[in-house]
Amino acid sequence: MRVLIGLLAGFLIGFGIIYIQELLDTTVRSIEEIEEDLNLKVIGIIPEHQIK
Amino acid sequence: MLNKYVNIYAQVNRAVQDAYALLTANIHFSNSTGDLKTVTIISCTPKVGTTTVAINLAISLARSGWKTLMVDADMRKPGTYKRLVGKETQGENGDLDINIREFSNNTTIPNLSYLSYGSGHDNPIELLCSPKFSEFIREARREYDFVLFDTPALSSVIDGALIASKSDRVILVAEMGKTKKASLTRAAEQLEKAQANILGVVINNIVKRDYVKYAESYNYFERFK
Repeated sequence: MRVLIGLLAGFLIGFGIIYIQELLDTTVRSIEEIEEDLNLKVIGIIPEHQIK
Repeated sequence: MLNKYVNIYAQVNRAVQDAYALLTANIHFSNSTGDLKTVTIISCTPKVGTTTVAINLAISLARSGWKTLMVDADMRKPGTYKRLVGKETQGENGDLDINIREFSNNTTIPNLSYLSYGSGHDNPIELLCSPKFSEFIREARREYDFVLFDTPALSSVIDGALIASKSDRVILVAEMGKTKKASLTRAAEQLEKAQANILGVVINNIVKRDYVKYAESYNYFERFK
């Protein structure tokens, strides 16, 4: 029983942290977000320099 | 002329080169009337690669055959931190010298000149509001096809907004997963308040996976397959 509760609590805390991190991430994540939410046009995307 | 020669190394990576070529093409699409000449490159927060974008865009424009001037308008950054080293334009009293021909540097890229405002000005804001600066822009427009201003981030000083208000268009540089949505919105508002025309956003340093995804949706990666 204790093991089960422990396991469940572990899962909850784990996913909880991920969920909260996602909620708190206020950075731009996609082009769509910039164009639709912020109403700005994306005119260029530049890849990282080590890309082949 | 005693022009100093500035070494600019062109991007050798094909994918990155192509990305800038596409940005150049987008600028031309927005320039159907042909009066788009001065472009301010700015970011919301520092360290998202504004200077890199400015240099590479300048190279791309120059390579397409346009006489291009890249202006380092960051007067806050000390000289030792500057990416490119060249003769700086500084008049007697820390003034802006508008003699562009004399103060611009030739570079290793044909058609591309580089000019730095230097970092010794007492009051950059006053300088950017002065008639001297307007005169500089008029002069630059006459001499070049495209003039790019590399400016400090909007969050740190107002310089960039002042330059943006005096140029034809503004390009906002952002970084995926790093630039906050709120600061991008604030930057856009700030620029609008300054009566600047935003051409669009350039997203820098996209990771490969995302880049391939977007490049495909832009129907652009097709030819690599």
